Amino acid sequence: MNSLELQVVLLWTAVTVYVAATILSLVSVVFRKPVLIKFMPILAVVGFIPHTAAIILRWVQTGHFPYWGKYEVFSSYPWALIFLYLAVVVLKRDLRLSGVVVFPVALFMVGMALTGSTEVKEIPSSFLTYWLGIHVAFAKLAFGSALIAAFFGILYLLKERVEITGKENVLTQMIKTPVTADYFSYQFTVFSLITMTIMIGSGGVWAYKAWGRYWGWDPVEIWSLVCWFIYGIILHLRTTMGWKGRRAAWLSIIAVFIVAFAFFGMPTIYETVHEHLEY
Amino acid sequence: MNLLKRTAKTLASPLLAIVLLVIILIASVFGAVLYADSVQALIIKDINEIVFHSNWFLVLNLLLLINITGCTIRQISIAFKRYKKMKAKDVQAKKLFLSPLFHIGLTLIIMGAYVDYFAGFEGNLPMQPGVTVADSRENYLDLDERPLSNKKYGQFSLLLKEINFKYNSKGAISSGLVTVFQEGEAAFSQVLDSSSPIWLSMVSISKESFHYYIKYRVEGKNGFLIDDRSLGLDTTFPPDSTKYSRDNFRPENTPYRFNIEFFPDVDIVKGQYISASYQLINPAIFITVHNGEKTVFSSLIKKGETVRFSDGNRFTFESVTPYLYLRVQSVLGTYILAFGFLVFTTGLLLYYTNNSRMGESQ
Repeated sequence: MNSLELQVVLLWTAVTVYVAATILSLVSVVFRKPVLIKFMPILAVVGFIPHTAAIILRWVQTGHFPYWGKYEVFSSYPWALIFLYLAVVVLKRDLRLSGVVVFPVALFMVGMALTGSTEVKEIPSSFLTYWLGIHVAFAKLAFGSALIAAFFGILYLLKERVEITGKENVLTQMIKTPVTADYFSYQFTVFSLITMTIMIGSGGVWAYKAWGRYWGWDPVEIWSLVCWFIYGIILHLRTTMGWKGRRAAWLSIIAVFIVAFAFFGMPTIYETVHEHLEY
Repeated sequence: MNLLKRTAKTLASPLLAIVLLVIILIASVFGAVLYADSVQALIIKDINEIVFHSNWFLVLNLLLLINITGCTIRQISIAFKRYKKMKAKDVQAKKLFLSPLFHIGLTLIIMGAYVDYFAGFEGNLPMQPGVTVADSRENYLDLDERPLSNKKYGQFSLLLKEINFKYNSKGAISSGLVTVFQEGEAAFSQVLDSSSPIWLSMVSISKESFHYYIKYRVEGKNGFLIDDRSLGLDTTFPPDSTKYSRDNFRPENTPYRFNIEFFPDVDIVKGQYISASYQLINPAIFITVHNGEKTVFSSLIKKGETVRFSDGNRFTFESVTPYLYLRVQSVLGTYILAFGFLVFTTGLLLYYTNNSRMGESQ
């Protein structure tokens, strides 16, 4: 079995685990079995191990951080997402609940990766710098935290409704008050803004090394700036205008779609130096 | 006085910051939409001129700069007042300055961008081995001298000894040994490539690209000149490791269309033309010439050779010259911006780690 075949086997193993975790989350929500959510971190670890091995093998095979082509981009994004999930669960057990959104998204992304070309492409020399690795790593963390922030935004809205109707579901049961959901959403919004800031900064250094300019109004650059503005505005509204709770929840939900469009939609629609999704 | 105070208060208000950020955000989205191929086809003007380099966008950013500066000054003064009331040893007292810190960073970022936009300098210097190039206005190509640029020419001269060119798994890499002359004397020598620029105070000189210039001549049956030019082949992104191509090149005022493949050191392996080495040793071009719908020539021509097209005209491959293109940039604005970014990120990180419950719902 060669390196590529082994990678695909490892990714399929991870997919299988993520499928199991997605089913588990569906069962727990639909059949009201909150106890099942406790198993999510275990499944995350079980899936994360072969996923990590596949990423390392790809890195060794290509000689660069996996950021080139659909296969590499969509296998490393869910890896970062699961990594973020495990990291936050270690820090705060209550956050294991976010697996309900993390696993289906990770599953979808690995599925996308497996539809991409696994061929090793020669990449432009401008893409061979550690700064790009830092830029890409923080982009993944920014997306992951934006996703979790939006999830807790949804949870806030659900929990708020429970306070009116009195009807709890599995998700709302696991969170004490709407304030807790709002707080978690806020924390991940902050984390997303900080990681986006580092993403843009390191991207600027990469661009300077590659093209002699730190900013070039490339469509993806502009949309990254738009995302950064949005998260900045959300936090500014929160601290200066008191936009918390319902308004902040809706903003975080809308924001994650804009981030997803900026990161995955823009490079496929526009002619851009961010040509990593062409294959 | 009242009006002045009220204006100052409005200009430094958090609400204005949100309004400005939202307008800039919408403008940016609009600017990004203009990059779509279908939209570009409808616009003759430079797309950046419509939004990002337009006066109204600059004014918006200037307002944002004034607003953030005002907010920062107000925050600092409030922080100082509170700091005086608190005990100096109180850890909480120091946290008062974290919000002004990242706002200062933001101010520096915008200021840096402004300095770069208005007082920056950027130009391309082409260099040929063995020829000294002076930092004079006429030697620059694609000069971008900003309105407030204080660039004074004649600060340096450069002499390129030779261009070293190699190809490896990372692509085509070219570098040159450059001697820098200042005030008429050789100051120092340095190998110059894209990752190791020469720094002269606030000016950076880096390798932008590497070109081969092919000089050729086309003559008619009676000896009259049809075309005589140097054709540049950009080697920044070579299509493969052995040749540099230019397809569908139409020399003006001629009936021809050329497809050219250039080999720095030609060799034939298994019936394929390749470069035996990447140094300029045995240069040749494989040229296919179309005259209208007809192909009038298709063969390899070595340097110095003359061939005849089937339409009777003659083509001479006269010489080939390598050139390093250097980018000369003033980096003051970039420095301010980078420092601002560092201050902003550090401030933001410290602010939120020290005020973790700032945004929590009550």
